[in-house]
Amino acid sequence: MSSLFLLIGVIWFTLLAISAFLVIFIAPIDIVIFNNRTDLYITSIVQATIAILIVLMLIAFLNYLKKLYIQKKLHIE
Amino acid sequence: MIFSDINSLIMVLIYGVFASAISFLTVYFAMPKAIAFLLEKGMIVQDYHKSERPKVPRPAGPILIIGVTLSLMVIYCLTFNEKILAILFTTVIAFIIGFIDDKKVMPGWFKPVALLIAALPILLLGAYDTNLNLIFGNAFIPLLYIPVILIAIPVIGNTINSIDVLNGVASGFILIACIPLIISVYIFGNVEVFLASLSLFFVTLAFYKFHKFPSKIFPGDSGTLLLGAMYGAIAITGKSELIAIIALLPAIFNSFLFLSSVKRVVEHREITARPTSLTDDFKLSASTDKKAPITLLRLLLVDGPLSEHELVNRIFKLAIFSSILALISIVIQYYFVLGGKI
Repeated sequence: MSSLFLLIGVIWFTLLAISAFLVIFIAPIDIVIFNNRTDLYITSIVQATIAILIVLMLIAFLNYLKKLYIQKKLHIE
Repeated sequence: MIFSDINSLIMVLIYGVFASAISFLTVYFAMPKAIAFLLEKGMIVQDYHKSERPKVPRPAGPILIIGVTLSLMVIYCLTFNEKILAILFTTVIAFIIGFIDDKKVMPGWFKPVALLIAALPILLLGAYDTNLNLIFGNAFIPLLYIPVILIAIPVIGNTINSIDVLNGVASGFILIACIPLIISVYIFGNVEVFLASLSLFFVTLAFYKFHKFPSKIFPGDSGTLLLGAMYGAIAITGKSELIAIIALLPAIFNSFLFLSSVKRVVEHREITARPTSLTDDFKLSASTDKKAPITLLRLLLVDGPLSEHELVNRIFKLAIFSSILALISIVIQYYFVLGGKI
């Protein structure tokens, strides 16, 4: 039971880390990379693509966590 | 949410009490009549987790939708806010989809695909904000937000549907997860959606009285989908998306475990190898079958068999834990997004 609490805590912390990354690096991308000179929708597409990639990475990470947890607890692949 | 004067605060309190009372009392007094009606019509299913295998009426969805509709109609008549209409239409469409599934055995893809329609009222009525609250600040995502809405409603609807495996779990889980959602909508959203969130909480509270262990009625797909879709619609229209997801983490994790182990969208009844089994003394134990899907229940049972009541309590402990994490996230978001000012 305590390991499930830990797992939920790790997932929460990962969500917070991703949120911080998106706010600090991806949200101001139009100013940092495009110097505020690109069309709003082009910036949006770039931000959306990066955000989707990050979500896919999150799913892959969760899958890895799940495999580790299940191998430890249920002893199956 | 800013109250310009004491009068507006009093008005919100009056509206809140009114909306909460309508939703709670409708479900509380109508449910016993619905139970009697369903028993008389033979609309019952067996509760396989108990030794006596009692026959439990199903579905409770029609009574829940009456409570939600009455309450939201009153809130709309008092506020004329289109976000309330969006929440109402989303909830009603999710209920209809669930009711079809209650009446007729539909394929596994039906609910997730059909729930895309339930997300449309939010888009068509423009009841969303293009700024997504991301705990540490906002992200302006005008394009990405539309697919986010289209994904969120089916995911949350099916998540609540998937966790509805034991007496009282779906309603109890929504009740616990509603607390951080209500607080978040109050701080970051608007007053109308806050009233709608109270409606969801009190409908579920009244229903929990009949759904808790040992259940007197089951929600059915119509009940779980409407509760999940309404929760998702409130999260979107109340600018509390990430907080809502954090509060639901154990339920979302359960759906993720199931999907990643069966590797396709499938109904639980189509699975031949069950994730749990019953012992001779009617306790639940984790399956040792390698082909059985991995679920939250199976993981909770790895240390040994548990009675249904013990297992429900463990799921609620996880729900309380994730709701505490959501409350911590609200505090962090409060300082980063609002700078400590409501």
